[in-house]
Amino acid sequence: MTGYSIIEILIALLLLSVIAIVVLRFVPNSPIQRYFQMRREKAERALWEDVLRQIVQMEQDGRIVSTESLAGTMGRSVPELRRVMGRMGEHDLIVDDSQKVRLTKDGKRWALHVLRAHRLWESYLADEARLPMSRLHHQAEAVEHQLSESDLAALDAHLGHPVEDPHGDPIPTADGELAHPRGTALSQWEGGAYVRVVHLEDEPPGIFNRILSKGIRPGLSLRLEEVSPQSISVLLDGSIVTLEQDLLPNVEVAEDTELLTADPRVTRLSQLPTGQPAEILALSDAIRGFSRRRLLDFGVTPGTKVSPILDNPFGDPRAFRIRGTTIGIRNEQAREIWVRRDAAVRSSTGGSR
Amino acid sequence: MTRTTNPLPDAPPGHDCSTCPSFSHLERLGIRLDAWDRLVALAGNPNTGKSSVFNALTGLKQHVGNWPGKTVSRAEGGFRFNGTRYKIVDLPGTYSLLSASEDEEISRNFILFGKPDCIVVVADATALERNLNLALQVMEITDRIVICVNLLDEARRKGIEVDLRSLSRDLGVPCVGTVARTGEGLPNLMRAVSEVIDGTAITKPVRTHVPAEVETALAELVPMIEEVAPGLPNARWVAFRLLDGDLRIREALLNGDLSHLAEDQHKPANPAAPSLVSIHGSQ
Amino acid sequence: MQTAHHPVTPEEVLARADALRRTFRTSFRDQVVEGIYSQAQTLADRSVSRDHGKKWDLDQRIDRIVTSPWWGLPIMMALLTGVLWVTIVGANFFSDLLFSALFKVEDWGVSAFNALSAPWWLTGFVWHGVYRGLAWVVSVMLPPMAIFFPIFTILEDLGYLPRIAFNLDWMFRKVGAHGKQSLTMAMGFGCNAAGVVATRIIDSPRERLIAILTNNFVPCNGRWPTLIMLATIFVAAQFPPMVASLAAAGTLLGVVLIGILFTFITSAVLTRTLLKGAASAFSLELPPYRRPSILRTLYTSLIDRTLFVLMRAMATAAPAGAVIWLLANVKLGGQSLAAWGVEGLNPFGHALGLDGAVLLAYIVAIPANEIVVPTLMMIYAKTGMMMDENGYEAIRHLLVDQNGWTLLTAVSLMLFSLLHNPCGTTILTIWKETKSMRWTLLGTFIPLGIAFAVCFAVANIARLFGAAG
Repeated sequence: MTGYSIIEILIALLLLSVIAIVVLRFVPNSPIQRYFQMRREKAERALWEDVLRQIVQMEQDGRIVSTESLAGTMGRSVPELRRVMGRMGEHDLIVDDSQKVRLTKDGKRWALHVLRAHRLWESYLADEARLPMSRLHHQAEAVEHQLSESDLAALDAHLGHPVEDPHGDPIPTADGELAHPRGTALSQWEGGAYVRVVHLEDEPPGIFNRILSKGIRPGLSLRLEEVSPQSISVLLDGSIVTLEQDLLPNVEVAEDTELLTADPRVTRLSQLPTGQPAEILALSDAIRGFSRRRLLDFGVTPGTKVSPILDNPFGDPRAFRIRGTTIGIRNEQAREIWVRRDAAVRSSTGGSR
Repeated sequence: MTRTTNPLPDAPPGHDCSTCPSFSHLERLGIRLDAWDRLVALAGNPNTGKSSVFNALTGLKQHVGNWPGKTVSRAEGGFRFNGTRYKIVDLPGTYSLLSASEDEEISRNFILFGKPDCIVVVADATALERNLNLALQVMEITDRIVICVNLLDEARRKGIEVDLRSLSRDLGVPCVGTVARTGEGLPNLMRAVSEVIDGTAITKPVRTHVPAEVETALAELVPMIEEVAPGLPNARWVAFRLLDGDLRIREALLNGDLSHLAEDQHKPANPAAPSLVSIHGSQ
Repeated sequence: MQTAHHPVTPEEVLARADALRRTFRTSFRDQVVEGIYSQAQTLADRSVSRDHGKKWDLDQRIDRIVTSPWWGLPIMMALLTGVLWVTIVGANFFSDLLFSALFKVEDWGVSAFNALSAPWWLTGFVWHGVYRGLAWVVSVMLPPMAIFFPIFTILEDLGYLPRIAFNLDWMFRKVGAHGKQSLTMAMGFGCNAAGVVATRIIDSPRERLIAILTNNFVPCNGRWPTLIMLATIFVAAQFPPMVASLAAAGTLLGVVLIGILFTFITSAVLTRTLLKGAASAFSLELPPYRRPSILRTLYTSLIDRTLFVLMRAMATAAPAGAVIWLLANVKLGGQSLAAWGVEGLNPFGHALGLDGAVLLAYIVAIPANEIVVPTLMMIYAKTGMMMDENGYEAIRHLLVDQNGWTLLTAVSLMLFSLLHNPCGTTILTIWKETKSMRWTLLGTFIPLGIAFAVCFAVANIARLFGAAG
């Protein structure tokens, strides 16, 4: 037999196709070349959008935007960014007057679109897909380049028009308005203050993950206990948590206007003993998206009477009597619902309503 | 306009009420229904006995489970009452029309775009407060509405009494008490439905109370919407939905669906209206 | 107010609405719902009067027991065992009756055909092929279904199922799934396709996919009969008659628990790999208990569900019977096609603790794999085999004495039946619900892979310890 075996023929075919692909790669306008061209353009576009988003974020934080500072934050080399930003300048997206990089009108509009995509997608991942906080940013970076204006409108409506993303950052509106963040860094507060976490900075990831591991989340109410130059200790759910100094600038808080933690009868629904009636005061901002809407539908609204009636083989979820119905709620959500215990018969403190 | 229950003598459980004298005008058509004169939709919270009402009216035996979300799709059937053929659609049970879950979307779209001649909101007499939440929302959309306060037997067992006369007066729409499982009150329900449809019973649904800043916003938007879609019966509700940013309503306003709806409002109900399929298709 | 000079356009209305929305101090939705609810409260207060003398919280008393830290889970187990036990005892009785009646009909039919001197292949094809397939399916499947479905439906109508979801939510949360998944699993006991459709009640897409992909691990009504039969023949037979049915029920409970264990394992793995994420929110109404109407329950569960599943099984069993008959009677090289197939698949089957005939039956019955065992019977029984005994005794004789089955074979087949891929209808339903080829394929091959792996492991470990088979 002088014939070839099947294996040999297959290897030959494989080699031929590899050669064909390599050759076509350099033939102008061949499908293969167009494919690689498209991929290059996509990558370039994504890089432009990253630069735009970074500039608008830095501007908002009040930082000076330069090619060098951008390169630092984005983890890119300065020559590469210089090349990219040169092209962006040609397209009238940015103005680089060697001192400071500014966005043009078009650039700003595009930048806000990307920022909106990024933050809406983070909201979606957190509220609906329930991704852990530490993974939101990375995932959103991949998707933000693929969402069109109408995708965003649909997403926005689907999520119930969130004003802030899960970190507490404002989401730009469709017509490009960007609210200012509400909070100030924790490092600027004094002991004894009641505050609410309004924003956690998610970069750098190392610091962000350390903050998360302390149990700090946007929407939480804290009392500042001890403030020292090295650290701040806060009262969180009855236990003291110490935040080291390098974490403080990345935790932004605002005064807790509702002073929920000051009233001794005010507590979380999750901590209400079974059989103890109470009145709902507020649903914290940490309950977002669909789960918030669902609770509202069940009539879990401020002013409603509530009473835990059922424990559970595992103690979680528990069931509550609300508006003549029995609703099971996980402790994870119940702890974000603030209630005021009805004055017990034995304590005659009464209390103002 | 007001209606009170006129409880029939309690029929024994499982007693076939098609032989009761009060049902003499009712002919259950099941799913054998090729043309109909009137379209009635059943809406309500889960576990309110909606499917029981549906079964009692149509003679069908749709399975009645007892867990939220049991009716995952829409059931349709028919009955004839006093010579008029009614088509009845059992919508998925929903707690509200605001959350935009899949079920709620189906119900909402049918109530708004399905052009039903009357909506029956089935409410659980033992948890009226929670059930009125949905009823009040539906009342913003349409004034052709009858509230069916069901499960009166359970309520009695629990020592709960519902004053239907006062409820009807407060809500401005007929409220009929029923025990769908035994057929109690169903003739009254059908009479109320036919009276709302032919206009003998004038309904004047109470408007929902909203905070001042929302009311101000509504006051500004409603005239604008009325100008865009003249004759729209529920401009206030559309304004609600626009403020909430409901995509489907935005779309309907832009592409003129709402204006068409307003025009159709004044035409007599068309038995052959090709409405059902298109609603589902627009999901 | 806008200028009144030109007519208002829809776009202007939308823009104004968007602008107004941003002026609200707090969330529009929160404000509106709060407003509506406080109005509903006022209205209800005006027209509802409560008789406070009447202690009406019977519901709450029951709930306190069925969800209690101590009794919640044992009650669940006891209920499940009770339902299984009643099903087994009843099925034993009725299967025997049906079995002897239906096979008498076969004998008459064959005699009638012979009397009319019909050709042998026609008699064989019609009576030993198509009819026998139907008879096996009806006598093995109908009794357990006709008992299990109504009892289960009554539990469902009572309102007990949401309590299960409430009790087990903690465990589902631990594996990144949703407590409502237990509702969809409960539906899966009836029919996995219905279970997949029921996953619509889970709002989070991620958790819904987990529920869809794992629904197959609860044995559906089509697979109960197989499990009940094997438990009765191989496990209950080892016990004295007094406790035999209890032993069978215990075995079935074990099988269900293994299925639930695999549901949790698979959910946990999915949560860490393909469907990464944390558990979403859980809020579920526990509706008041309702008195089920027994007659309606019987009607719907028998007519709608049992007959539906049975008709489907028969629709696949008749052609499967015909195929088996052909395989058994078309000869190739002196041996029937069936024998070739069984021989070829034997080594593979043996590795899984089964044999070639089981795998051949499985392949023939792919469209509706709940009829694997009836199909298997047909392969074993071939043509013209005499049936001396009735019901389960006949099956025992066929499997153990004539085809050398052991306890290991039975256990392997139970595990295989519990874990293998969903039936054709369920696969189609997964596709309809997910609209994704990827999830459909995963929903098919994850269970199949697990079934192979588990059976392989069990067979080899058992043989290591000297089990026969």
